[in-house]
Amino acid sequence: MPTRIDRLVPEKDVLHYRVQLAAPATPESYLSWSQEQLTAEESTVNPDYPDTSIYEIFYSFFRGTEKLASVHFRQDTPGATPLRHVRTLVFQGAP
Amino acid sequence: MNSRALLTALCSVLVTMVGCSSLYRHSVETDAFSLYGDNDPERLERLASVVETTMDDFDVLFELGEARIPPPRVIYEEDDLSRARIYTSEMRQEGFYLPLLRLVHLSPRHYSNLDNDLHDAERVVRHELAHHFLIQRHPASGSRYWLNEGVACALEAPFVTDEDGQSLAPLYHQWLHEQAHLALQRLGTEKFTAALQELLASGWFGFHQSGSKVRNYALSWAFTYYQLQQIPGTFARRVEVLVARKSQELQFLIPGFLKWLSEDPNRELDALAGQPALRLWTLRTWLNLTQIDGALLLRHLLPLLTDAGTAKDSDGVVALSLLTRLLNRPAIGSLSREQLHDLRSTLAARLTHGTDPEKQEIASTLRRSGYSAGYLRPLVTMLSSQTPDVRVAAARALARLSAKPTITRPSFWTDASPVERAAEVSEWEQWLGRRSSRR
Repeated sequence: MPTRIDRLVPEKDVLHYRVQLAAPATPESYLSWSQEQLTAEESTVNPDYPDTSIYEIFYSFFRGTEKLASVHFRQDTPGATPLRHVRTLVFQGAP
Repeated sequence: MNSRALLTALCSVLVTMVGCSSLYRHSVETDAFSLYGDNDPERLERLASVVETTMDDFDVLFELGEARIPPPRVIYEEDDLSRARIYTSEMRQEGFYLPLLRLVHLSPRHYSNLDNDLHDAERVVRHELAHHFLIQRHPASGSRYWLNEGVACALEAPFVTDEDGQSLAPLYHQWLHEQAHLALQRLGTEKFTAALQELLASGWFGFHQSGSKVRNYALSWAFTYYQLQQIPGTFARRVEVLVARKSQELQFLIPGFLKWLSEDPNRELDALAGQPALRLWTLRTWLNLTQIDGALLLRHLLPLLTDAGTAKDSDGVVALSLLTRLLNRPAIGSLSREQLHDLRSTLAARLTHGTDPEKQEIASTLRRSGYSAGYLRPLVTMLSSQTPDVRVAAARALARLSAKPTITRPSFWTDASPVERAAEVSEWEQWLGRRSSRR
């Protein structure tokens, strides 16, 4: 379970969530957790640019400053749902 | 091979006995090979063309002529994580070869798209088919694991075509060279020699010991490559000599090998780049080296840049892309601050005055560095280019290089109305104006 989630807005049409974990998770659970987050509408809208359709969303998982994994989604056509999972990279060994 | 791979190997034996086509949903059967898999048929078809091209290349390389080697059975499987596009950083087996059954098993990692998947798969296909060709052509090599893996690793690099249209195998493996060089530095001559002796005498289990597996691959490639470079003649002839060498002959070669391996890998790359047919391939490979000797590399790269836009246009564009990759690095050995500044200014000038392919290539390759600010103005100008792909590359580069939020979706820069795009460009120009007035 995340201990903290921060939203960064690197671009008008890109969202980046930085998720703090107490311990590494399994490779599959990074993806499934991120997919669950996407179902919440507010997580796919940039509050600073609400009229700009989101192109990419990244979830980066950390334990402290150690990067554990990153999940990348993309919306090829504006407004299309669900967002397409591009790839999940797991940097640290699964438990 | 780990226990999972061993289990797969046993299943593969069973599969071969029962018949591959009855157990896999898709197959491609030709006179030269049979390919089986449960993947989507399109991917299997494309992999079949990679297998076919590799076999054609190896037919020539091993000088088979009219002689044919028995067709291999190739099985292609994806693991569950790869299928879900989840990639872990841990090393894993991506293929194996069972000589008695002529069975090549492929399970390469997958990356972002089909082209990259194939690029990665090609390396694994070449490695495993190299085992097939070597063992079928020289059965005596089957029990010498270092030689088998050494040749297979040497043939992983894609072939390049020389000026006469002939395929050329570079045989060089940058990552394994670095690993072997580091192993010699860390172990010292005595311990390294002992490890090499052990490797030369090792059987399958000794070679695949988990603690020293990477080192064994690295030493196998390095010792094989060193010998191949020493022996004159064609690749087939050189391999024949290599296979025939007795243990005692190998012992005599070790001091010379240690001397070669102790040298900076930049020197080997310098020698390879001196061969015109291998120059571009070597420069690409060189940029993956951990510690690059920038002055040595530029000796081969800069002459290609003078050709950009003239006779060797496409080489010039590739050379600009390579220069961009070099300048993206935070530190480059043997180049002064002034030299770096001049090179970065050259790149910024190409972004302004270069051809569209040059601008697109540089913008697509640029990453954030200490000099990023010098590229921003030309990139903002490129947002108003008449060429849509140049606008897309510029927007993506600006997103990477600056902190100002922008629209990165390619379809915006290709399909949005000129008015919408002009509004975005205007924001950038105002931002640049505010930025320069602050300085």
